[in-house]
Amino acid sequence: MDETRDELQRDSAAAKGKVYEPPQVTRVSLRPEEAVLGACKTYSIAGPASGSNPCAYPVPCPNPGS
Amino acid sequence: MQATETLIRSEGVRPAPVGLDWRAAAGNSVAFQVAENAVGLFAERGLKLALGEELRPFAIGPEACDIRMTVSWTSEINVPRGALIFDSGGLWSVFRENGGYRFLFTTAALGTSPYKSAWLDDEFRAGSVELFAPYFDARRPIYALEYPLDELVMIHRLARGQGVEVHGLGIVDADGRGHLFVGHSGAGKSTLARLWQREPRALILSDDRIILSERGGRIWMHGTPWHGDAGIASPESALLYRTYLIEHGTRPELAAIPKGRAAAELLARSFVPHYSAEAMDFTLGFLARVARETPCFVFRFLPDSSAVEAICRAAD
Repeated sequence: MDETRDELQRDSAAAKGKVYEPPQVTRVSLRPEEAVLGACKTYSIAGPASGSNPCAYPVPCPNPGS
Repeated sequence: MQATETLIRSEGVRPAPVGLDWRAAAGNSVAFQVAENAVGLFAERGLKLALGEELRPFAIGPEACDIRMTVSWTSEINVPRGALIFDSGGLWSVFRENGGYRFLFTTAALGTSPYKSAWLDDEFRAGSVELFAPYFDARRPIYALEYPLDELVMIHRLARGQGVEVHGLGIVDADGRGHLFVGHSGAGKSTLARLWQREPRALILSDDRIILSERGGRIWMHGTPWHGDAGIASPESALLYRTYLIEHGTRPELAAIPKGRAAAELLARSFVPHYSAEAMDFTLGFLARVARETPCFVFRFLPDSSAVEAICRAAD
């Protein structure tokens, strides 16, 4: 019983020592076009394009959306 | 701390899987392994496969693959009847179909018709790729998982309880400790990679894409074929020691960040199937664990040798 009372007193003291910190919202930078693997960084093309564009498919893209 | 470091030194680096001469792999089947996931491609008669150049250090034999996909020609790719579940806004979109996922690939250079289609089962362990024949040169070997399909297969498989691919540079230092530098394009990953190339005892796993996974109760980082401007890709793996959110600065500076923010920053630099609640749930939990178990810092740096020196000094 005494031990329980001591623990409660310690918890209470610890709680009094804490300074309340309100929750904070931190904005994190996201780049959707990179996050979804949606585009080629170099030419904005992929696939078996040929002729008028610089993509050399089927040689793999040297810079896949880095 | 000493015990942990000793463990990392003795266990922290794992060699790449036994490689295969890529020339021998060109033909009706090819396979590669990334982050312990072996992917095999098996072509129909008359369709010659090859691995993309960056995949060749990752080549393995096709006998025992975790993910198996057939490849064939098609003269018609129809829009799936199932529901559209995500449109990347760029090269690909994905639909629900036959208990799995149907991916369509289009490019502005070829108009609105898809040049490729891929179906994968719900677990991303088996599937098929159809190539729209008029768009391809059948005389040349083809890498059917060309970007972004190979990464899409990998991030979906990882999200089923394995780990996550992050936009980052992975360095293994002389003591076998894995340092992960994450950042968006332009943050300095390839610049830092070139600086680390001057360190003869450091190993660079990739200058753009690193896979984190859990094995044996520890967090590992794996090299991937998907490199950045520095063109560095290695199939090796190492235990993750520290994570750094990189920024250009006026002097080398390391500042520890709270674990909650670390997890959020990592998520913003991860490649995840965002349309899947299950995948996001797993990934959030996994990244929270990464942040809990490994220190995370903001690392501001100058593009000179002081950047590498600052990391080495802080790690010792």
